[in-house]
Amino acid sequence: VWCFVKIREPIDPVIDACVFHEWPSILSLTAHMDEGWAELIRRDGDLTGPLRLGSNWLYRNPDGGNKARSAYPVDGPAGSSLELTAEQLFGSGRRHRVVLSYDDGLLVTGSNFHYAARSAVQAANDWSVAEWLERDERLFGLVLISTSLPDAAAAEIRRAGRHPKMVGVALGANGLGRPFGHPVYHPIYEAAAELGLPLILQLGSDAMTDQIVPPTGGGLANTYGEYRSLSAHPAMSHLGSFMTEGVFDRFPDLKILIVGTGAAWIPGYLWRLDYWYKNSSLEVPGMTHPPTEYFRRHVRVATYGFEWPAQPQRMVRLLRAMPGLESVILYTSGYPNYDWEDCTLIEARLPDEWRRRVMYENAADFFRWPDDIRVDKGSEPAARDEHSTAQERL
Amino acid sequence: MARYTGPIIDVDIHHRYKADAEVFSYLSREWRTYAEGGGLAPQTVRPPGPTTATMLGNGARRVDAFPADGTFAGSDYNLLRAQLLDRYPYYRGILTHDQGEYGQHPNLQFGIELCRATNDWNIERWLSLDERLYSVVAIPTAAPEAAAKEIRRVGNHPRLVSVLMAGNGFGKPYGDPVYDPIYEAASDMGLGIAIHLALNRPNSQTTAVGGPASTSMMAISQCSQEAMHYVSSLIVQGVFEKYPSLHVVLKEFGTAWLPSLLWSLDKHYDLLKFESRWVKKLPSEYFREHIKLSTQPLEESPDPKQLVDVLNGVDGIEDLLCFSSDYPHFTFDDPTYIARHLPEEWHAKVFCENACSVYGWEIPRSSGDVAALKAPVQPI
Repeated sequence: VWCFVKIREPIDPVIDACVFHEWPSILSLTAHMDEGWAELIRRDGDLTGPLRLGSNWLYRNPDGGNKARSAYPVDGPAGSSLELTAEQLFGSGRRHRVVLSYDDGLLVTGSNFHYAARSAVQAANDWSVAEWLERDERLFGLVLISTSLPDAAAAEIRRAGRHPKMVGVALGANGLGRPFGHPVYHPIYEAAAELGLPLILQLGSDAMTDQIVPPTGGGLANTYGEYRSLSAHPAMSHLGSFMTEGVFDRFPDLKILIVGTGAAWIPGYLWRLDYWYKNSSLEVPGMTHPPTEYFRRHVRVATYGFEWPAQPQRMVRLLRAMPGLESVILYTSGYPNYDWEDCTLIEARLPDEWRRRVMYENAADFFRWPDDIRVDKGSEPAARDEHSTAQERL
Repeated sequence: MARYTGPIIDVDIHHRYKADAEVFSYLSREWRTYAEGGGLAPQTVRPPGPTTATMLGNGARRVDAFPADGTFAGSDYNLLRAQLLDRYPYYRGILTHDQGEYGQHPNLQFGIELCRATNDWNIERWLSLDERLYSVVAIPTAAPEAAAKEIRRVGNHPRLVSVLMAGNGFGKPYGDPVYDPIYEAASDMGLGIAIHLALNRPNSQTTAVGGPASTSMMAISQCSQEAMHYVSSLIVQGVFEKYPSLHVVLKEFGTAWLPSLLWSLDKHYDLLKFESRWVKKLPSEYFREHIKLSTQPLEESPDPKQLVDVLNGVDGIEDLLCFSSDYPHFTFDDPTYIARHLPEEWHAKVFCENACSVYGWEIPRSSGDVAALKAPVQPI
């Protein structure tokens, strides 16, 4: 039997929109902190070692942990060595830009001790700049914030977000237990919009033990496998909230990337929201467009965590049910998680006409790069006059 | 345009009492006194709950479904019969209460008694009226042992076909072993489980991810989360291994989320097996053998074909959907509308055969079988 295999040129360059980098130890942060906080964390002489600042994950992969074995350097946690990370990500020679998104860093944002969290995210941002962003030109960063103090978070965006290699904001934990569209969080979006930084909403940010609300609808999941299988839930809640609370009308340039939540639920969920927008619009005077339109303009979805059924082409077939989704999807490796996906794997699953968009162009248009690599130069998110009307109504 | 003229089984019709006192009259004297609250502080059959979803106008009911006597939509048999049972070729319809979370009162003892009263009221006031009407057993989900007792008490009635779980009694997903007495009793009595959306439920976690919804639009749009978790939990926590004959119908949670959920669960199969001794087959296989979805509210894609493309993410989806109208809600799905939106080759299964297989009913041979069932009108 003859098989005709179509040889496809690999996409080059590639942007990887989310890699979880890690500090070797919490002590890495103390150099970037006020002495009072540093002393609290170092706990010199304490028999149990330094304070493990931050919340615990509620769920952890019980079969070997959340991280790929191959991603552990000889002397630290997975994702803590720039050299090993660079070797494993840039080995193929194709990936040009990687956005670093923290791992334990995200846990710090969920701490109920909000002043400590505020201090820790400041230190984390300075550590990330010094130890990663300024050591490798291919690496870019996100401003880590703790949403439990929205004004402090906004101040941190204005401080750390000035660094040219900071290309977005990691939203982290839901510090006040309200869906993210709630006006209490708007100072954060105001700051992000002011600096042109998009927001990144990661799976797992809702699954810390200090959180006020559970990460899944219908109660707490009993197993990690179920929690992972239900990872769409926080994304559904927060996305709907962003739209219905008028966040995109108040901040017409604001964009959001959701990571690790799958995508096959998106068409059905948006059709449902569109239906209720049509039938229940008196409830949502802040909205000026149907949810599907906000989604296309403001929301992007990472490939990491896609549901990928046994025949991967079925995933693409389902996504095609909603025309234009190829402009919404960003390649994301999720390195060094145990189920991270290399660019060659994802690229092979995409139809020809999607590949360049997903592997590069959508990310080129999404982040606030220091150099203008936008493909869609004229992309204004929305007509300004309509939006200002909406703002007045609010 | 595809039409369907064959027999219809509707798995989700909402019926209710004209006045709370109607149900209270089935309580014991002591509990009736409690329910009447000295005349000035009466209880209601529906427990107090969040007001979010009440923002929808007319109680989210069809205006034309309110009877002329000023009582609430869904409370009048003759109107229900005219607008539903006789208007379309109904073979059978499953009355699912309004929405039956009556056992969710903070006073659990009252909730238990109220479910008993509701079941007696239902049998006497509704099931006696029309041979086409079937229904469900109302239970207090937060009192599984009492619920099991109630299931065994009334579960022999030939026209009670499932146990209704509306309102998550413990805020735990439904595979949690705390609910096992309910599944055991249902299984013993040959009844299925009907899981219904209950937005007005008090103190249970349904769509609380990210915090409570502030609008009815968000509360309703997110309700699929609850169903997704119940499916995963029933499968992974072993309910179908413990009670192999049990079947579940999920009502009013929508449909288009199913491919995403089943793909995710199958993708994590090895992990789920590692964590749970009960996972012996692919989650999608358990679903196919034990669970069905009601069609309403069928998601509205700009082109109906788009929704079918999404649903086709699950092989044999046409075997897993059961038609439901959700009468008398204003989101009512007219059978002719559903027929237009689903492929013609699915019709016989979705409108009739799948429900027959769930409830162990013979598939009616022709619409003649349906006509023979028209009941005499009985004044209430």
